[in-house]
Amino acid sequence: MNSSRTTMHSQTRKAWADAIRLQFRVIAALVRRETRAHFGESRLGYLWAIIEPMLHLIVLGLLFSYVLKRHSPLGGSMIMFMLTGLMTYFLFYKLAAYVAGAVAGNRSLLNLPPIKPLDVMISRAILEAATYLFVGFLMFLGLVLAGHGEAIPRHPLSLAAAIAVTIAFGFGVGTINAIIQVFVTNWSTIFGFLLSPLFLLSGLWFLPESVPPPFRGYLLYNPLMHCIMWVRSGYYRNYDPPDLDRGYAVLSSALTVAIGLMLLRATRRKLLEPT
Amino acid sequence: MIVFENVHKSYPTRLGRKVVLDSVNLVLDTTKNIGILGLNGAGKSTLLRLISGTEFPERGRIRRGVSISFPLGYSGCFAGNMTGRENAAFLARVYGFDVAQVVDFVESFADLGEYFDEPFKTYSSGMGSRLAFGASIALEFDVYLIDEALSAGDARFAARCQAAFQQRLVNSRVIMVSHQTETLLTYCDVGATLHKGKLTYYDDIKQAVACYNDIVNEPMLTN
Repeated sequence: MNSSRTTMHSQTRKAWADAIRLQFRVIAALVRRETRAHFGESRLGYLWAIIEPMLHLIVLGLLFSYVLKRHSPLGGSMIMFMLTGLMTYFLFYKLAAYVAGAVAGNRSLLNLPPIKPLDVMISRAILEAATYLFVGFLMFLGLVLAGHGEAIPRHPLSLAAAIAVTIAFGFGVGTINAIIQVFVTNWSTIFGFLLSPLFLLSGLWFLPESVPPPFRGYLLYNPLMHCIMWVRSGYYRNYDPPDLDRGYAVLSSALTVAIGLMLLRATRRKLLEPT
Repeated sequence: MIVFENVHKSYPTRLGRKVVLDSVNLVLDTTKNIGILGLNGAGKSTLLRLISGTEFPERGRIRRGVSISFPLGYSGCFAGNMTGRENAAFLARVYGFDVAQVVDFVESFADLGEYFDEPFKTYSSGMGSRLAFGASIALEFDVYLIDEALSAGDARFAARCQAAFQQRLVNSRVIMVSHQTETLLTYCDVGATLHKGKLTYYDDIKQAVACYNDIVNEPMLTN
């Protein structure tokens, strides 16, 4: 009796191990495939995937620091202030948008039974986050080499945590989007529209501390604003924003991921029906 | 064994929900080759998708104790900007087979020459299905799902498919959907008919074909 129970236990454990190994295998294969699909045929494609967001960031950064001659509200370098905001924003946004296409854009792939929607979502998130983190690393390395000592993060652990939370938030929003997109055509356009105010209101361009009270309170409901403050507090030596609520950022990203996974579970029977 | 436990599946159509499987309880013996017959639109392809696990039933569950292929010759999963070699390697990775071995097999089987290293989107439809059949046969499954097409391409390639497939049938079995009753009679031992949400199992494929012929000859009733 006892021994049969042990074998049953070890059997379930073996089944779990098999399932996890399968998932790793599938995700690894998908990341390789998505890399090719995302970056095109040529080696130039990889390069372009790195250069495009860099150009984007450089143009915006130069525009604000040198052409508009705005003074940085934080530290001495406007381009540094811009980059900390833009990088965080785009890390979130790109992840959310790319994961959103995971199901609707991959129906033929999902016809292969070992590949589950979650696998595609995770592999897309890994690829996009890795790309963007690499871009960010290059950008800040460039700043350091150009003599911006500020670009070396003063609190690397806090910065890493902030990035992780931002990635989780982007992944959660992307997962929810991916499911809505299956049932609502044109959702990606609607989502882009809904999200566009965030570019202006997430504290990329200003410090939340500078916003007068009633509005500041409203803006602080935006988890992304907390992510950006958190990232900046990880970079700057003496920036400890009074409004930053790390718990709120963690909780809201965990909640979005949880909602996304629950939606996925609830709709899995409908998700893969041919439309 | 593939076990259907109270499996229910329907589709929304303009005329209301169309029931494909109406609370089906059935055991498919996967030591036999199984032929599935049904009229156009009866839901045979949906049934295959349910068996393979691509789609979920609305109610009930399907238990599989065997490894099941994707439909033989399915090329929808190939990425257009990846080469034939990369696409074959991808399938091998997903199913956990030895990549080099699978790729070598597909290369010689599909016989695409230099095109094996060209992007899939440059392939003609014939070349595409050569790659797809090569990949399907390269991967070893307990049960192969076949949706009508058993081979593709010119007569020479079709013969190669048949020969390779005969070899697979030593250790593997098929679940085959077809209108061509002769093909089913050649390959299958047992059969099932899918008609109006009912999946009926027959111990002998000849019997299944006979019942299918009765369904075909059934007078069309308008309610």
